[in-house]
Amino acid sequence: MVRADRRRHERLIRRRLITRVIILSFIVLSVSLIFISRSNDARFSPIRNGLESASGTLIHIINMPIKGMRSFGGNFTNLRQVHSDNKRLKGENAELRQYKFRSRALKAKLDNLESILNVESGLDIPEDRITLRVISESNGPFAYSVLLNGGQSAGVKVGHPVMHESGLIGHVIRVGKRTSRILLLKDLNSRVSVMVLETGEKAVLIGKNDDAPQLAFYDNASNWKDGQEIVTSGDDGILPRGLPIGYVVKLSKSDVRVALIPRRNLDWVWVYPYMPILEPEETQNHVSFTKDSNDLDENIQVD
Amino acid sequence: MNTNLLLNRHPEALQISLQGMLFTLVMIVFSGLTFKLGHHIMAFTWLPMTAIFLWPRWSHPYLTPVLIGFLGLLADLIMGHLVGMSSLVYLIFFWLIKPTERENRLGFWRAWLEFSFSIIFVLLITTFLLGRIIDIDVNWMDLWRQIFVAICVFPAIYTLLAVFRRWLIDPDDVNYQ
Repeated sequence: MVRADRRRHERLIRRRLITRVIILSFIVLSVSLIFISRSNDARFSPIRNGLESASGTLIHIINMPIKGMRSFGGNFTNLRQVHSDNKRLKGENAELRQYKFRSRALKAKLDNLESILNVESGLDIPEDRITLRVISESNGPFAYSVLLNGGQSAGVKVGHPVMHESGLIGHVIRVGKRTSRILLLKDLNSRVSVMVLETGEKAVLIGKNDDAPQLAFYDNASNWKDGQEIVTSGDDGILPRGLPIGYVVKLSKSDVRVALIPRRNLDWVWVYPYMPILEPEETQNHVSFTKDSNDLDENIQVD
Repeated sequence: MNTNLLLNRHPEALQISLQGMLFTLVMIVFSGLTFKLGHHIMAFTWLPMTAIFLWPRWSHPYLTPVLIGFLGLLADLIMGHLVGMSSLVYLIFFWLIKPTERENRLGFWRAWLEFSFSIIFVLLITTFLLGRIIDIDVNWMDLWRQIFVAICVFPAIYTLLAVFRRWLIDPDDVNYQ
């Protein structure tokens, strides 16, 4: 009886030990993976792309009734405000029409000046845009990103800027066949070249995992004032110039923050197929030669 | 603690473990959903932890932590987190609550209370330590909101499981010793 009890006790200890060893091994593996992914996330990109594409369709289907209910609720609320909204929108429309005329006149003037000076300043923000839907949102505590229901098949590429109705939300960091992952501006890994719209003062906007990213690498802190409008500067060669981001909030002399343009719950977003500026070395790699011709056909393909 | 669970393996332990895995997998897919409450975005990020808390008692003792580790990695890859973060949190949570070693099924109030305390404890400690080790600023308010959502959703998940229990493998009905 005593021997049986002892054997039972030993078995129990052994089994517990094995379970603990399994858990500890996985904990060590997880911590190692965290360090690896923190230093080089690109290693996991192919696996992530596959999994995101596979799960994206499923998440999209699950999301359908939820989003349907949300929009139904929204529509119901909107119905009560139709009259006041209509009145406000009419006024706004009249104002925007004025802006449209002025914008056309200014564009004609700019084209004229460019042709006189023989320069090509280029209008950075592409006119085309890809409308996609947010299917899932990763909201911290370490990462802030969203998954969209379109990828390579929709023409999305890494680096493309993503906007909601009133401002930039981030840029594409991974593209699968049918899904793409967007890094939000507030994520710790986000770095965007920005400037003040009115003065052209430049800085880098650094995500801090909160709602107000920080400005860094600027010349003089006194040049930044509360309420100044911040847009992308285009200096990084990745994002076009002039995309609205938010407004300056100066907390102290050394801590200048940007309050991002408020957004509703993300649903539909626009991806701008902006062609980033490639360095000369990179364009060299894309030079293709036609075999049939003896002449070098420098057909530069930028992708 | 139920020593029988450790000493005598259930003949259907493998299927029971896979049942727990499937349920957690569903929760992982749902964890990508968000909604807006006032000016704040509320996320279901830690929803899979409800599934881990309610993991079937008669699961395979060795296979279960392996499954949970892999499910955590899968959640990280799907949700775009740092790879390894969710698996670490899930495993520490699993180690703390030991769902496969419970003597009896937990009653609702006790389960809710135990879940609330353990999720707060595990997430705060792990996030704090991880933030320190890998030098990342943590948005504590977002974390608290996510914990709040998980705690609020727990009763619904518990009830759902209770309703569907009759269609699942219910080891409590099995005359097993």
